[in-house]
Amino acid sequence: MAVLYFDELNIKENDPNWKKRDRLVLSKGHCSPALYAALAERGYFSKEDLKGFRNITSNLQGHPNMNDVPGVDMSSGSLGQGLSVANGMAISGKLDNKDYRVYCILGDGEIEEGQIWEAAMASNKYRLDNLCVIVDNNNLQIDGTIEEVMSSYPIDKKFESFGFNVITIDGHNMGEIKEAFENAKQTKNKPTCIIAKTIKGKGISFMENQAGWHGKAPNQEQYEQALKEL
Amino acid sequence: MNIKELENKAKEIRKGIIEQVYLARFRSSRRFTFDSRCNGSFIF
Repeated sequence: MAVLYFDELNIKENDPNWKKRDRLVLSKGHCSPALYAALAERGYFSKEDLKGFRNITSNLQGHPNMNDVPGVDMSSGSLGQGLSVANGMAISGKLDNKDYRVYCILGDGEIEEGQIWEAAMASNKYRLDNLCVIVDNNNLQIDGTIEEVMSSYPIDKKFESFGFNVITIDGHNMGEIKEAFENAKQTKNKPTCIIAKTIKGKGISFMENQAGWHGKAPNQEQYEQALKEL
Repeated sequence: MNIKELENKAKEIRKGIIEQVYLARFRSSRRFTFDSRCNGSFIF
């Protein structure tokens, strides 16, 4: 998210609906706190607003709402739908001769959804080289490891066979992320899929690689420990 | 932005995530929203 919002995306925080902006679809909408934190850091709204997350009166709900939150390009939460929407944005850009790019973040558990692969066929059919898919491959979903639930591996071979330019990177290495985005921009006539190998809860020792922290809030002691470690 | 600056931004984003979920720890109510552009799905 840091590389996207501070290096890659061509966006204007003071004009969230700028027609020429790059688009981002956070298909794994349950990661909304990461999106909100990035948008606030970029200046779309105040960091103070983050304190209202999931409050009934707040616009920052558990899943992102494009009608309520500046900078959110697509509402999401029902998993498996984001790539279809991103395809539509990318096709629209080509039809309108606009040079914006479209980014779509998928979860490695989410790609067990069949609609993802229907959409992947369309990404290839329409030669969407203005589309960059990022798979957050932390190997965990809410019920356990990817292999235990419904293995989506080999993710790279699957996207390759669907006609994507596939790049596998360390999803915590800023240099590799930047290079991958550059590679995607240079790739013509096919969409790109970046498989970002990540660690859930990275940077906080007791959260790292634990499926139990998929959607759980820390208590006060854990909160203080987490901030200390970060 | 250089690598070091991006790493600092990533750290700030992580802090923002932790703060949000910590402060929301007792909020069980979620607002139901309806968005026709999401195929009529309920987002909750």
